[in-house]
Amino acid sequence: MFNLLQIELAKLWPAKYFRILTALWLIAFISIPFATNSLLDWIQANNILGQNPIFDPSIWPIFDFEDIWQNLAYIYKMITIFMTFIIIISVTNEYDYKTIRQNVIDGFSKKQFWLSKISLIICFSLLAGLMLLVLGLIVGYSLSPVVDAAFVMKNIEFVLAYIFQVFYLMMFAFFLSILIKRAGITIAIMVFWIYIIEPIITGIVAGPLLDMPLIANSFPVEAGWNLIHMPFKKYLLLQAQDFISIQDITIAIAWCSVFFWGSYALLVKRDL
Amino acid sequence: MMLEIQNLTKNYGKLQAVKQLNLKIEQGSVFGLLGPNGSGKTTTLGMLLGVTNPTSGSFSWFGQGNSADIRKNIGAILEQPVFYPYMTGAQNLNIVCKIKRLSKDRIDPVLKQVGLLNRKNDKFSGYSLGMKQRLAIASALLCDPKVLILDEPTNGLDPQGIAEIRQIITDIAQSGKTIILASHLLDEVQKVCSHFCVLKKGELIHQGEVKADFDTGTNIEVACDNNEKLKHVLKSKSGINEIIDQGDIILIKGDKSLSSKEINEHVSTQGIVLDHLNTINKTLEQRFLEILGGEHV
Repeated sequence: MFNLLQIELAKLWPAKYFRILTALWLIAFISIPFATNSLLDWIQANNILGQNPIFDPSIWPIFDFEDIWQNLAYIYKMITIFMTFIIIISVTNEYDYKTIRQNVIDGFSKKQFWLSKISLIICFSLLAGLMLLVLGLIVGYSLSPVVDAAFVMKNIEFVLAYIFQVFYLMMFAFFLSILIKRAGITIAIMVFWIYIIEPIITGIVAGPLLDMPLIANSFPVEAGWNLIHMPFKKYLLLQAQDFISIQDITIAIAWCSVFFWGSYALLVKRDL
Repeated sequence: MMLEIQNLTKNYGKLQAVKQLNLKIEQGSVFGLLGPNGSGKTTTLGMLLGVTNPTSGSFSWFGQGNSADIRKNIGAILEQPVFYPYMTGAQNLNIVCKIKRLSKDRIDPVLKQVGLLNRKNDKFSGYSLGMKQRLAIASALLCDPKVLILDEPTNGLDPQGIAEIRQIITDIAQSGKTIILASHLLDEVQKVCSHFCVLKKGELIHQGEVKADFDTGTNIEVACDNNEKLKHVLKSKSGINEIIDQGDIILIKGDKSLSSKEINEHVSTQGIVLDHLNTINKTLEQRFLEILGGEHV
């Protein structure tokens, strides 16, 4: 598996798209907490939200332990899509250049080719998790009023949820790439599905007319998205899901298996 | 046995691309796979190289089956040269080395062998077609393969490129490697190959040795103003097996050693002056057309 990952990294490293997308992701990743903090300070200083104490951002413990893990994980999951583009381009390029075919001719089995991409997805997921851990500790220790070890560690399971969320979305992108084989169409369909089709469908299904939230939560993107619920509502409405539910994990694992075995079956069954 | 194919079949829906193919290729032979476009050459090679799933049948490399690990000992190019365009020649070969689990030390020698060493750090996308083809051959040679598979290696090249590639292939063949060469350039196969087979619409319609099929004898055409006398004179010449009167021209079928010079000398001592004398080389092209023509569609 490590040898396969090495091959993938050797393929990626000289590629311009990889460097650009990774740089964008890193810049966003590192700057988001600091930028958000500055924004909140600015809102505070300019009295944008009025005098109501509930709307006072300075008392929102956004970057305080224990809230920081869910808050950062939630913010970061919104830029995961940058990383899925790397997976999509890396996979569809292999079809475009026909290098997937040459890799097999040179001595890869189709399964090894599949595993090499999976190893890349696992590597990226773990790296993203590590980044969250490091940034969380840096930001938390510099902004949080409480830095007791017990508070720091509390809710740290959101780092694991984030790793799974990144892995999940990349597996979704990987499955689509194997299915469609073309970078532009895959990205277009994925973005369209994530931001337009699925929100409309789930909105209708969960809405007052049908009122079936469980079905809505079982759609593929929603299932991955629900691993980390929106935490900020609790500062305004005083209620938000601040834990990772077993039901959400179960649905996500089910979809993940579909992407996992679906991509494998497609790759092995089809001629190259 | 280098390769043994049994009843290999590939269907695309109703279309049978390869039908019940049986073939054996021996070690050390240079095997030409001939056939018109769409005859199933590339489909067959695709199955032998793991990229196309056979509908039925089986094959075995080196008597060891057909696993991916066995392919690591095969050097092969199917259709065009395939590489990552944004990488340099050397970076591309490095990927192949990693897949085949070879040492990087092989890269420079094979690049030298195909004359690309001075361009190894240039991007593949900037290579000319001939250079791309040479890089593909270098890549196929990386593992010091027991068998080299080349599919239309001179396709699309200019005459100079064709000559270069042919020279490389001839050199490799002389080093004793087994080569499977798919081509529709018959004269290429005739020059390089020791054995050949012909595919037509997915079926094997002929298989044989290049020598046995083409070095059967010499054919010479002659004519003069008195063909009757000429025929009579020729009957006394040794080495001639058959004299065929084709009207204006007489066709002589003789031993391999028979030359047109001998014929000319012989008849001139009998007072005959030839006004037509032509040695006919039977080419693979004629043979190929004979084979294809003899089969009913």
